Amino acid sequence: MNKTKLKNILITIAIPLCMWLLLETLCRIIMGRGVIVTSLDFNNFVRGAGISTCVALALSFNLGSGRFDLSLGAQRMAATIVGGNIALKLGLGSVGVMVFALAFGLIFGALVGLIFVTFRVPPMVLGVGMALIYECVAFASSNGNGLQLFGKGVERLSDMTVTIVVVAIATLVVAIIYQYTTFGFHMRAIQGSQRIASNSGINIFLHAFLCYSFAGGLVAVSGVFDTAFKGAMKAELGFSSNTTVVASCFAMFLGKYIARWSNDSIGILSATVTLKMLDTGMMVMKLGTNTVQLINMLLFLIFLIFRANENFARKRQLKAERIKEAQEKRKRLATAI
Amino acid sequence: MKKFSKILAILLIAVLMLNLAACGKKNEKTPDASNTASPSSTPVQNEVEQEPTLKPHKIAVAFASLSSADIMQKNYLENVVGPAFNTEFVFSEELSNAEEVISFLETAYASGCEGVMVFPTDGLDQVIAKADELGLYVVTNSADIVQSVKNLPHYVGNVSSGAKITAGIFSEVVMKLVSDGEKHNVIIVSGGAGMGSSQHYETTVSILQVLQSTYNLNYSSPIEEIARSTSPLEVDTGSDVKVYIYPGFPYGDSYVSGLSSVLQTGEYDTVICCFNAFSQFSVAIDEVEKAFGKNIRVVSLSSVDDTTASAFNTLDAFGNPSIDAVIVKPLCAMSAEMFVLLYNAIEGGVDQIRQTPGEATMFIMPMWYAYGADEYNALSNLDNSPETYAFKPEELKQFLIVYNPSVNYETIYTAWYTCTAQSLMNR
Amino acid sequence: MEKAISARSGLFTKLMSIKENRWIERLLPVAILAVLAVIFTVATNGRFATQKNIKIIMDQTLIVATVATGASFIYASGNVNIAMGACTALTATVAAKVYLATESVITMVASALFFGVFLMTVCALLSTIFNVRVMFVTIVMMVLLANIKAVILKGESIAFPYELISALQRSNISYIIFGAYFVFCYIIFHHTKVGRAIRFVGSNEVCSEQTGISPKKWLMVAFLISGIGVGLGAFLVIIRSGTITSSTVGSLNMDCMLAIVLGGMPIYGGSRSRSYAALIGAMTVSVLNNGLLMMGVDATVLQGVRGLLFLILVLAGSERPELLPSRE
Repeated sequence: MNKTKLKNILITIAIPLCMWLLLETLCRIIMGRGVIVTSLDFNNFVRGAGISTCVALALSFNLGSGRFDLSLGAQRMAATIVGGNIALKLGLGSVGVMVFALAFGLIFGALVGLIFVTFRVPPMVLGVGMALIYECVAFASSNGNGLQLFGKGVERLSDMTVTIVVVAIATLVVAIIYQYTTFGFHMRAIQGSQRIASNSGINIFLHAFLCYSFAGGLVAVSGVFDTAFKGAMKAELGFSSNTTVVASCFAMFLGKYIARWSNDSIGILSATVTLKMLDTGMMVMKLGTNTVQLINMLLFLIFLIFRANENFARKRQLKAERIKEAQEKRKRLATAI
Repeated sequence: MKKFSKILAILLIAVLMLNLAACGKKNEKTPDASNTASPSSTPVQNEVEQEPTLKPHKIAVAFASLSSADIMQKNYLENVVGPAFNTEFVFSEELSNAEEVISFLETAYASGCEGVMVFPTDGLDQVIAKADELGLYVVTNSADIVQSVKNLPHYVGNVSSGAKITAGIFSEVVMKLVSDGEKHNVIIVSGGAGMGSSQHYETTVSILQVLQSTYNLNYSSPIEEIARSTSPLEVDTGSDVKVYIYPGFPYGDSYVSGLSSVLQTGEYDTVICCFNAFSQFSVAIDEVEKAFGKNIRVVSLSSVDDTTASAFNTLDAFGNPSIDAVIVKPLCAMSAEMFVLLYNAIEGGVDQIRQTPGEATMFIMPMWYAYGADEYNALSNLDNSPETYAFKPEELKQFLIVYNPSVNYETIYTAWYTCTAQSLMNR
Repeated sequence: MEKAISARSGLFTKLMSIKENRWIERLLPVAILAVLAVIFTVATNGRFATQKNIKIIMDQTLIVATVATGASFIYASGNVNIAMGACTALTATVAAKVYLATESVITMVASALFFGVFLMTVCALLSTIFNVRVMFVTIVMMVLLANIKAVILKGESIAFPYELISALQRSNISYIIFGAYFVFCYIIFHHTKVGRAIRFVGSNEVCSEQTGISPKKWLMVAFLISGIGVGLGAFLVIIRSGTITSSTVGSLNMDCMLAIVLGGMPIYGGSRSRSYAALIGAMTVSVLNNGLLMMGVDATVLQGVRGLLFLILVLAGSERPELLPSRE
């Protein structure tokens, strides 16, 4: 393994590690206890990070291309509730619940993608409309009961090992898709310029359709784990389903930044672990839910400002050099004349 | 290929539309309860007139939430009460603030409604004023009469469980749980006690008082201050009995994790939820029970729905149900009283049913409670089964002035105030 | 077969060219609104079209129309702002606190205007000085401002004196405020250099910069004007509901965007933007909500039917680009 690779791996691991060190110190000073003390604490942490990772990976498919799909939360709810209820009715157990939810997630995502590429409605507008519809589907299909997993013989879904395995598979699959398939190349080309990508023969419509489908499948997986941990998922109307998804935007953006030392999916995994550590630490310090979210959003904003201006000094320097060069050229021309 | 995609997309939308329409129809049941005489019906106390010709009426129902329990309530009104009394109901979506309620009132008025049941409790003075302005009779679900508008002619009154009465029921249930001679460390999930919810606050106070009296605790701060805590708090009890206040609502992902981390200390063996949230913690509690090999008892406010039934019927690692006792809001019985009040008001008898003519009146419908699956199953039938509704149309007739012109405030108040689950089951 | 296909595609092209005619394009949202009104009137046996119901629809439209009219400047500049509701809610909260402290309506209105402009200025600064994309700023603001409001309110609600709110409602000041703001925005948007510059930035940012029209400067102006709308919208919210809670105007974020889109405003702005699109769109949203409920659509599927109709109306009213919609 060469030095650069080693350095990249170390940096990718160091970021969540530094967050852990910081919070461990703060928690011990303020509360007299660490961030993660018992095995159950670790269990909760892993599950929470796994759920956020799946959502952040889902977001990366579309948000990276400038499409903010506001229906992702509703897809999550609908796929989990519809798929989960069907699997339970068929007596298929944990695997069945996961597979059916994933399948419905892919279908619901594909439907949004199909409408998007066919009618070319702006993604935010489409997202709002589809969110209203999917929330209604989730509610009506379960008669307002949502999905009950507690006591249904699917305890394995809340097992930490299962979470780790499934999230690892998801991360690996996404990494392969991004790094080793033409899909990944096309994605980077389209992110550069849609028109040029299209003119060079990339089927941008098929690509967008696939992005929506994959995103739907991934959020469904996160929905199943979330339901398994909480015991139930409520079917809620009123466009309330997108809070989890919006909260995972920070993880996605941070992940894309960390990706410079690894790749997108590993970067996102590292980012979600980092942010989950932050959340856990703040909970240990007994900060209220609103305060935790407030701090998260402020940090997100600071990060966005940092990302938008990280090359500011370099750009100023380059600009100064260009101006200097132009002034010298003008002097030479004036002297020549 | 492009055409095919378009056609496929249109077909999928059409399928979705049909699905929605079908789902909408799925909820309609048509039990013909109006003609069935209930074997357990109370003997009619006053003479009921021959069947009068009922004028058609329209009543709006403003929901604060649209859970399965609310759907059950909707079915009761729409399919049982409505056909029996020639009344059409217009139901709202989930209304989360006063502005949405006001918009709903306006639309309901425009569609011909004469009365409205209001379940959201925000900004009620404006909501009631708007209803009065529009000429809609209004009954709300608030725990307190809105003083600033109590004299408005169309403000009939409130039907509520009463914050203090609910708190009293919680006291009784908790007392039974902690008076077994052993010391129990308790987590109180106080919800909005520190955020203006009088019911959550009164409940939290009453639980703290019960614990204080049972274990001779000496709180370092006044109980009222402890109950109003807006952040998690380990109460200084002056003894080895631990009490933990966990406020807030499960809006974010960290809510369940936060409570889970407290449970994982292994020090607490009783969780009391002041609002309907126990289903969110069931897995977390189960894990702690398995990890520490101890039974954690749970008492919660709940509603008559599949979640609660499932919790009673799901056994934990110790063979105990996941929940030990519930206090439920009997939504159908409550909406029956609200219907009675509105119907009488629309029929011109608003002052006849008020305690003080010209002034809005408080009506109490106590919550029901149950220990164990058997009690819960019996109780739930009173609120969700067409055969055993607590208030079937035949029973409601005696409270409507079109059938019983002598009905008054006392009749109605007493009938519902004494309507406990135990009395109904005995009957 | 080929003749049939070519005839059909010829017909399709003709229909599209009719649709893209500039007058048809301007009148289509109005036509859609009128068609909806007719459908609902027929379906409700005339109840929908009564004078009382039309007044009710107008009352329900005011808040969204005010905030969306201000937001149309941002949309015209080629940016999307989905945090208008969160800004309005926080502004209303602050204004309510000011009223509780001062018991002066004038101070409350002034503070609402000031705070609305301040909030939007902060958003604008993040975009113009710190170069963060407007869409990302608004995604963060949507959650951040909601949490700030929750921390200020601490779960409680702020209730205004019933007499004060009743008096304000009886004075019809909501209509006066909206009318004045609408006229102000219309004139600025369509008859001044400000509107032209903002629309030019929305059409092509590079061209505008090279023409000497600074995108950053005019984006700031757009946000400032929309800040006034936020402040006025906050005051209208207070008049309408008389109380501020954690869920006040919770749906305004999305209602605002839907109003603008349904009103015929191109989502990426540009020269075809119109300030009155917000008003038409807000009325369409209110008509839909009102009409579906009056028709007796089941409460459990009402939201789904509304979502479906939104999409159909958007599909009918918007231009289908050659490539996928993007900022390019």
